[in-house]
Amino acid sequence: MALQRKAPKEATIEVGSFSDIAFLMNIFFILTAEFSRPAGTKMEIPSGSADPGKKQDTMLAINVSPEKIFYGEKSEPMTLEELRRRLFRENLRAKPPTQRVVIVDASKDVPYERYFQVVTAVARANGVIALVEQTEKGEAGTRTGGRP
Amino acid sequence: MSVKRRAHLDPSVPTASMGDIAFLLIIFFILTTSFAKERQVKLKDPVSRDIYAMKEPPVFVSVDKNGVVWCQGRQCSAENLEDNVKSAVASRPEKLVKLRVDRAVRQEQYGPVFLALSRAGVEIALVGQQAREKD
Repeated sequence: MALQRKAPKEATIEVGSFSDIAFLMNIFFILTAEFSRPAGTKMEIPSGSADPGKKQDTMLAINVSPEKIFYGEKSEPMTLEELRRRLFRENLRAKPPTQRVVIVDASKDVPYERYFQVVTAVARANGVIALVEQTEKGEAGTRTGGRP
Repeated sequence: MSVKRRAHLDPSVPTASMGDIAFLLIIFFILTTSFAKERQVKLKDPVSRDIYAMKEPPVFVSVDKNGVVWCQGRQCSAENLEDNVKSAVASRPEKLVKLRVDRAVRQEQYGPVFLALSRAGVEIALVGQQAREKD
């Protein structure tokens, strides 16, 4: 009896649906991609050396405590909204950078959110922030200068 | 005389190269995507209404809720932050560093970070969450 041989099958891989899978992956990537645009503000902190004697009378000073914000030499306590209005009245926009310097001094227990709100308000009013740095002698120095 | 008819052509779109195109697109996306390393740093952004949408700066520094400082997704101390930031911005034309700090961190923890960035001579992009209502 003659045995019938099976016809040899061609070994192929089905690639017809590969493009469908690839396009589905493309669609997934496009839809899930998140273009990040963070919300924030640029803070001008001029790099300079700490100099306790450099503080000028023309500089505005803001002291921040966890509860209150003190503004100016008379250290009047005020709310954030009042600070915004005061900074707006200073018209820093019209002044040269050296006269736009605002010293922001926060006590050690001030949470960042409070400091952030004050600093962003100053930045929005076109102020140049001066940080307060404690020197080795315990004096409070300011990092100032003004970006051109 | 018998007229020869042209053989009918099947109206078909050649789709053999579609798979190649799709895979090339995937390779393009994979190579050009930069995964946000900073997402590993868990923190709550502060809220302010004086901020606006801005361009993503290439270098980032974070301070998490425990006061731990991260530079480019790697943990570092406030003492060596200045050097780390200087080397990170050295090859870039824009000396802008994104700073994210947890809203509850106290000044004694974020103060040295600001001073280190100031010493590094970079401009700081403070990042937070935009307030929806009047605060």
